[in-house]
Amino acid sequence: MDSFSATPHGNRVTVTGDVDMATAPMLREALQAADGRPLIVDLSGTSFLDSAGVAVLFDYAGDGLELVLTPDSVVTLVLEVTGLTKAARIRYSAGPALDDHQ
Amino acid sequence: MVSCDGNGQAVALLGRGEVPDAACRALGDPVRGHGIHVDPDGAGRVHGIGALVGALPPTAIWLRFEPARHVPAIDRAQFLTLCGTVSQALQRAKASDAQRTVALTLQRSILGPAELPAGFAVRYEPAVRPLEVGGDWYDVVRLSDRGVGVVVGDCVGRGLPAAAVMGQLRSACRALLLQAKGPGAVLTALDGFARLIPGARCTTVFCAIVDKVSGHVRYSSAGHPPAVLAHADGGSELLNGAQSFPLGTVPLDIRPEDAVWLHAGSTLLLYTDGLVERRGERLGTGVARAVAAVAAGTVAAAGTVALGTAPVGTAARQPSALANRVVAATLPDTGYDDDVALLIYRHPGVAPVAVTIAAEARELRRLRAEVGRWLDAAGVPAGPAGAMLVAVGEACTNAIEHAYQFDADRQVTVWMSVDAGRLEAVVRDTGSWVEPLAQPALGLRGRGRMMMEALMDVVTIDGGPLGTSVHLVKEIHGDG
Repeated sequence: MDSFSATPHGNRVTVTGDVDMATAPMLREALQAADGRPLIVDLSGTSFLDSAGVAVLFDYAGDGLELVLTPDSVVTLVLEVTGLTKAARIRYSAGPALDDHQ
Repeated sequence: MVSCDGNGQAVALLGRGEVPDAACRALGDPVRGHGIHVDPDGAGRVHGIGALVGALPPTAIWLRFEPARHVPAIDRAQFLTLCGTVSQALQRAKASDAQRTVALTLQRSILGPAELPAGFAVRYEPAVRPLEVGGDWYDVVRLSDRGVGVVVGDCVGRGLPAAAVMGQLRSACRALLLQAKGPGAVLTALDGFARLIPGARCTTVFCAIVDKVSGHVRYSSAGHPPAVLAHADGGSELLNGAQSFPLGTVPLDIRPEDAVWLHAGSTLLLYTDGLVERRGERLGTGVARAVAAVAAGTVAAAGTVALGTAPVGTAARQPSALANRVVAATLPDTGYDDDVALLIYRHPGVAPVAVTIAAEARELRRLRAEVGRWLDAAGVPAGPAGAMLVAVGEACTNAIEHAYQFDADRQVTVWMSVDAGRLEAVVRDTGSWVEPLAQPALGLRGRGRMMMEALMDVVTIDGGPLGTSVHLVKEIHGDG
């Protein structure tokens, strides 16, 4: 349960710690601050993500959003059950990039 | 000790301090120590005579005469003969003691462990005395932080030949358990070993692996009587779902395996047939007697928990108290006819947790930390634990957002429990009775509710004038 941080670097935002109702607004600010498209959000170091965080990510899903995930993590599970893994391009941090939208 | 000599005079056997120093020195001397020693008075009489009867440590008999008397040569010769006989008897006794020590050490080394992990108790009764071992055995093997292998077996025959076979099978079974591929695989591999050991054919074995944290039990039986599982509510069951043939009889590629869950306060009893067999009685009668005894003991032990009488209850909750109860209920008046081994495990279960947070967003993190620690201590695997954290978080988020509308003076309470593979949570807010129009249950829709339903096996939401309660259930699968 690390503390939350969302760091924009060009078109890439690296998110660590827990994304919940308290930190989702900060995630939104970081995504707004990111420069360039497509937007890449690295969630491989994110320890928790709830519906508040999912809502933020869905707002960016239509614009070629790419998510970097750790396989079998609770964050990945949440994105799967909410359908976000179908609405964004997914790359697994420990595996090869997946080209098609799954 | 005092005895009388031929003249009716008392002859005392003396302690070392009472023997004259000169005689002591002479008797203790490795060169001069042999033969008879006298304590002359200078007038043809002696105060005492002595001779060695043992070397390590130097042991002698010393006869003191009061008053000093004449001891003719024939008496001295008889005394020496007597001391020789005593010396031989002493040597035989010492040799016998040494052999007995060897025998006991070897016997105890082939029996199960004397020290057991918490929650376990064993009883062992060999049929043939004075042997301390027989053809039955038990074993308790720590496999990991939470996994414990338990075994009870019964070799054909009784006495020393059966014990010799038993010791080999016990060691082999222990080694196979440490590979921890599961009880079915252990017994399958033990089959091959049993074929190599004369006298091991037709041995019956019950083997199980108990997860002490979750209460999950995998088991397999090679022709052995079924283990008994008794629950705190008085229910009981026989573990007969994975029966196969005794060792070394019918070749099997893999022996069957089944699994059960222990609830908090459940007792698992493994035993050999000596516990339940009595002459002139059907086997089922004896099994029923053992089941009744362990069920009654389990209920009694659970009752002491409910009463909360810790000083009295602690002893009654101990598995050894349950073992005593089973022995008392099954022991025939004439003692057991056969070897008996019994092994008991009482599952303590995990105490539920309750966490209350103020109705504000930054409290969610503390909630997850506290519940997360509990999930970890309760041994809930990462997958179900993470899903539960998300689902509980959604229920709390909803309570904060809709029931309380971010009123941080209000509270949300989360209760969580795990028993027999069922992880349950209740998230309750008490917010809406002041503002009945808030209808908190209606807030639980959309993505949060969909996530709970996707992640949980059961989601029940009860919204009423006293608040909303969300009941979440996640089934945990045995090894997952």
